[in-house]
Amino acid sequence: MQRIDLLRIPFIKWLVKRSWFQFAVTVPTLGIFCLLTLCAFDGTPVGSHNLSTLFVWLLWWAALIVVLVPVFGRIWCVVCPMPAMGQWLQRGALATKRERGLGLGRRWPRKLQNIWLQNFGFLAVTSCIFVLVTRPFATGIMLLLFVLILPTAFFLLFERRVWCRYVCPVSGFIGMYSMASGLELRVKSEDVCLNHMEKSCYKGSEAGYGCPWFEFPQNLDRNAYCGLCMECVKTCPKDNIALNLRLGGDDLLVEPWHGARKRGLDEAFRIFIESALAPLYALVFVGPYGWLKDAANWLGGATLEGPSSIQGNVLVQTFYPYRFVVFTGLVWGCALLAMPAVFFAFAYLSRSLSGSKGVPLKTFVVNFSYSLVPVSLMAWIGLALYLLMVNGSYIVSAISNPFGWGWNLFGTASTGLSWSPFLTQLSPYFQIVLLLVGLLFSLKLAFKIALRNLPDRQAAMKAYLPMAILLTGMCFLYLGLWSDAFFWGWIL
Amino acid sequence: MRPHAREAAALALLAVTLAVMVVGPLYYNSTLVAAKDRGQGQVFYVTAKQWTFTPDKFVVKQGERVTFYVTSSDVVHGFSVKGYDVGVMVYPGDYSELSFIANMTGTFEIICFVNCGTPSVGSGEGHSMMNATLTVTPS
Repeated sequence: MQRIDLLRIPFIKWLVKRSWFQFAVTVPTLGIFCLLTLCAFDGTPVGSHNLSTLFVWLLWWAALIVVLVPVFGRIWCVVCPMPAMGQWLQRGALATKRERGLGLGRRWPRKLQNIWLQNFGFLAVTSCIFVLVTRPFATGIMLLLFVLILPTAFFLLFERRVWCRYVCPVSGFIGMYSMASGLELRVKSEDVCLNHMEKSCYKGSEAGYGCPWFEFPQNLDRNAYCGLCMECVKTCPKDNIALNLRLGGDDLLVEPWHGARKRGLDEAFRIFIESALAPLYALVFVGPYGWLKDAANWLGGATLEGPSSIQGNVLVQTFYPYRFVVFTGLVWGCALLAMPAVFFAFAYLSRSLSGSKGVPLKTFVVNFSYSLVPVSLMAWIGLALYLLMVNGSYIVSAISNPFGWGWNLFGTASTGLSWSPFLTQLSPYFQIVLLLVGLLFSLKLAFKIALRNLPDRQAAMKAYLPMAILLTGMCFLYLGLWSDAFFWGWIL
Repeated sequence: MRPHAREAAALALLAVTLAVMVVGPLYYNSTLVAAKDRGQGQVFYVTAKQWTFTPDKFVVKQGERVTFYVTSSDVVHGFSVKGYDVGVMVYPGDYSELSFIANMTGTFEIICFVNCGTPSVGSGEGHSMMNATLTVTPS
């Protein structure tokens, strides 16, 4: 496959080799994080008028799903403010290389060297999604917890980027889908790496730190856990690192012998979670089911503590345990029980038909689970685009009046209440196109996975058939949601 | 640039960024906006009910801060001031606060922006009839 090495562009190479590169790209996002946190706690309590909720859940999330991850993979991890404070404290430096910082540098337990924590963290956040998107103070608490307190604690306790690699709930999401992205960091020549005994890319050198993500660049064949931090570009004395633009998807086919250590049920379940939550969220946010929205909105009864000079945001909320149990049960049940159960059943069928009864079912499940990535990614893109088209007009006014304090910075605040959905009537059509393209890639991928994992073409075809039925069924389930919305007038 | 100088520059940049992002909005609000906000302003307590706001007439002077504390005695309502394009949701039994500086003169319609129910046919009542007025006189 044709690749274009971006590091051949002198300016890019010069930039990423600066010791201050990571600092320079993180500071702006950290500043925005501070502004959003202030908005969340001190701005209007109305979610659709507060910049924090609109920016995080509408703009950032849509940008991540629609552009950043599919095109540039883990590029967000380069500028992410989450590790900033912790990493600077851990290293004892902002923009230079220092040997010793403040961190304790403990090793992450071997049993937790997987992405189960990320999976559970993601499910925990998504169980609160309706509360988060409608209540700025909840978004503020989440920002403080996940951008400042927890990452900093992890950086001070453990070595390198344990938080990013094993804990961060967003990292798992980005990691899975970045495998289908158009940007990769790889070595130019494995032979050069094999002959280079110092391994400064992993251990670090005077030029930079050892890989913060615990990766050996020489073994990189997937984007899943490379955060594109560019430390290896600085430390490699052989100039053997390339940052390639490519047509995505190769990583999902990684040879099992090479990735056996990394590919397990934790990753498969991550994909099941993403695949199950895309339609569930469509139902919650777009669907006509009042009971589902009520269940998702398990915090209610907004109450001001009393008239005060502070504009809102001193709300006392009522917690509805019944709603919480129902919605959390739905999220966790769909993601960890229903979706995996269906996939295991089809994988069992696939194994039986192909006559590979000697191969463990787990192997079939794990290997074929990657075929869900394209179609589920397209389902997420479709949902994010739709939500942006529906609610994007709120952002236009909130940019001028981010706190709801009556500002009009750019002259667009007067659109405050003129909620103007944009071209939503076209939504079912672009959903159809996106999902069919996703299905096409998924089917192709499933077939390639079958060919790589089974001894002959005939067995591969037999193994592929149930998976093709499952993928098509899932695509039509997503399509059904949007076409149902179209026919029954949810969104027209 | 030497490492120590680079660190100092980075620290300065970080401090300036954080100060601009956190202190900046507060400073802007307290000086530039507050300069226009003369006096203590007017505070109104309003009750929304199908299909009225009580009271339904408010008069303030230009440049004053207007603060509404709005509650509902029946269903969920909205309370928005057209022209100023500001508004809040109003929940039964709770207070919502709406505060802004009345910098434009004139009479502005206050409406309920939540479809708060369907009245009996021909009763002359209903969500669309639910309004009040805010009059801003020249200072």
